Amino acid sequence: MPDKILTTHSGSIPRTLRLQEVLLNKAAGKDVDAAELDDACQEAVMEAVNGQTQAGVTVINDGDQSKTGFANYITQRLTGFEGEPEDRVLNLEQREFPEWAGTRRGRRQPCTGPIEWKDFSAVTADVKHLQAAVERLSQKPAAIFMTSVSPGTFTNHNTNHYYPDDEAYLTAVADVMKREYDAIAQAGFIVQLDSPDLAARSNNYPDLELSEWRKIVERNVEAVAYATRDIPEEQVRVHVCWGANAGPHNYDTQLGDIVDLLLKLRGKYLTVVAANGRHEFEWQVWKDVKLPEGKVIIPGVIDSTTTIIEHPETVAERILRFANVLGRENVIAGVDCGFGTSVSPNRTDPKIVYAKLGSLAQGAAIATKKLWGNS
Amino acid sequence: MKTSSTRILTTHAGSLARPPKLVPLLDAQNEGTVDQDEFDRATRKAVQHVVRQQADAGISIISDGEQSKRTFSTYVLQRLGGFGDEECVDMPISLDEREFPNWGYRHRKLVPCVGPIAWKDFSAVEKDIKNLRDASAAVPHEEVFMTSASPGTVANFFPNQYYASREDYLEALADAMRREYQAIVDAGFILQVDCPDLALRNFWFPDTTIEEFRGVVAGNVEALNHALSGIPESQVRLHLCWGAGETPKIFDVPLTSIIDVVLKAKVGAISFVGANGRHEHEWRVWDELDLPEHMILIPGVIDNSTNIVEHPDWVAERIVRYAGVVGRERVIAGVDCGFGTGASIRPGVDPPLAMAKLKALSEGAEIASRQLW
Repeated sequence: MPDKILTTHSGSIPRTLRLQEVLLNKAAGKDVDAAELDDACQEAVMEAVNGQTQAGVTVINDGDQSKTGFANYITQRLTGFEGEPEDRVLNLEQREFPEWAGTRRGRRQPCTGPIEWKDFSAVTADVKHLQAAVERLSQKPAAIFMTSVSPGTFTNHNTNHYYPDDEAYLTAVADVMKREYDAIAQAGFIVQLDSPDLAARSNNYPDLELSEWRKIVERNVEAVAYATRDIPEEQVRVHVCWGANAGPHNYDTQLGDIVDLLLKLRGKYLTVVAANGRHEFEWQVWKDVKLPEGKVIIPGVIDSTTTIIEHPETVAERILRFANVLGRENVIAGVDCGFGTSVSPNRTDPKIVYAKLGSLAQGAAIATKKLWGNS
Repeated sequence: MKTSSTRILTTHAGSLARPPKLVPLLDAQNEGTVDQDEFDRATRKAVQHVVRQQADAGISIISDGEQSKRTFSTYVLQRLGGFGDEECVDMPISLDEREFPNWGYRHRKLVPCVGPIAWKDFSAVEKDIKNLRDASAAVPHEEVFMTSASPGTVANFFPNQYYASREDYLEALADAMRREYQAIVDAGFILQVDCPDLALRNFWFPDTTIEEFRGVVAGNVEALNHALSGIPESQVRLHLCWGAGETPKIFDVPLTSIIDVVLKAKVGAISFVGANGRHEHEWRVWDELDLPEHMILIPGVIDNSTNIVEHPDWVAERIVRYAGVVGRERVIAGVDCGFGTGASIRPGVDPPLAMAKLKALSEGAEIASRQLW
């Protein structure tokens, strides 16, 4: 049993400038020296690990430093994605606010052949870098996590043009991704499955009715259980979100419409968006929910889409709302979504990210004092 | 001032994005090269448009969106004499910038005050009033407000190089701005005085201690009260803020450090930041205050710095929280700060989304009203 509110975040942190350049070069198909990439990654992971630790975060990761994007990194690791990228469907927000949406269109890489590992060394390198960085810490974290894309998000981001049907594709993805999930767990880390597929209907299936879309979510929830079957539940956490962008979000599915499915997820930990103004009211949902034994909810108490640094008292208030409903030992304080979900020249200053994480830790300390008193 | 007597009324902080065609005209006006007739026609049309938009969104206390103003504070340049010809005084380096130098700041220079402050074009005020009166007559609404810069805000944006002291300068500004304030009230509008000067230590007085800054605030409040003398408190609301931008804000002075001084202002309502994560927790402050009987609160329940459209249920929860502290009749639901504080400054919220946010505001107020009545 923890004797305080632990803190964590959603995974990604802006890359270091050096690594950003290397990753962008690699993504552009330029020759990148393997040793340079490895060194830049190791250095960046050290910085991310130190930054989180100094901010006071207790459940830490590598900041997704080696990844070009939280989901699209996988096409560099697997075969089957050699075709031309295609346009994403327009989401409901883009349709309602065309003036806002402008000409921005997401692209995605379809699956056009059998998916198999072509570079598993990227996974082992991630594990090695994170272990080495934690090794050097004098004060060890309460736990370590590493993110990986969920089967359902994988299939949303990379449409199927090869497997006979969606079912077969999802199974193939789960079978292949299992190797990455298992490797992360075997290193002693918590595997975080990044799963916007479980919430973001507007981005992926804007034309499906809620009830139809829920069937897809249900299938994706089953895929999580299938792919993590050999990992202890204590080492599985699922990050559910509606996209990390500061868009309108007015078509976000409400948590109340999916919480029953989310509670069927295999894994001890579930992260939910709870800090931004579209979802902050949803703490109320948990009043009517029976939390399965041992389940821990990680609400976002920091909004990842704004550079405004939350006041620790605001953070504490948000934590207390959840702790009072769910029980203090069933809550870890988190961040809505990633701070750097893809490598981008327009990155947020990491110093602001660490200041926000500092507010998170200070807010958790205030909440801890109120929840545990001096006992 | 109408109050939430049977339901929660809604309003916003004043500025709204200008139509794209108006922006170059505002810039040309600033350069002194504008065709005045064209400018007048364009602003009149823009006011009609934003007034209609606010009514469509269900906002009860509406404004002209500051369409005729290039920025919420520096618009006085076209109206008052006494200012220099060029932007030549550096703004202080803010505490935010010292801490986060890579964040991306605009380094602006300021026009100083170099001579006696006096009106040179009061017709700009009269045109604003006429435009808003005509536009609002055509749409359903509860009340109309018009913004005006506080003496302290003008003093911050136009550094004094002429008067013997800041006090003298503030007094001269108060004497001049008084005419604008009076005209707005005489038109039957609620006057909103924009007062970032009462909170923004970080930008304007980064090197003062909190105690020293409280002294600055006290001087600004005194000047404001001087400018408001003779105007009924119930016709005036004060907008208190820490800057409209999506800045780190860790150096924002806490509300508790200044509110006792701010409450000395002779106004009937205070609009303040209540939605963004730096200030959201401060709703509790009002519980511990000895708030004057007549004072109405206009908390921001919508964050003007993010495109994320607040959920109406969350807006309602915020409103109900304030109603629980000061009573439902004393709460009007508002927005943290302006949606277009400067015509050519890229707003924190893309213009089409600002209207979606105002709609979320009125929907949230309806939900809260059902709960409270």
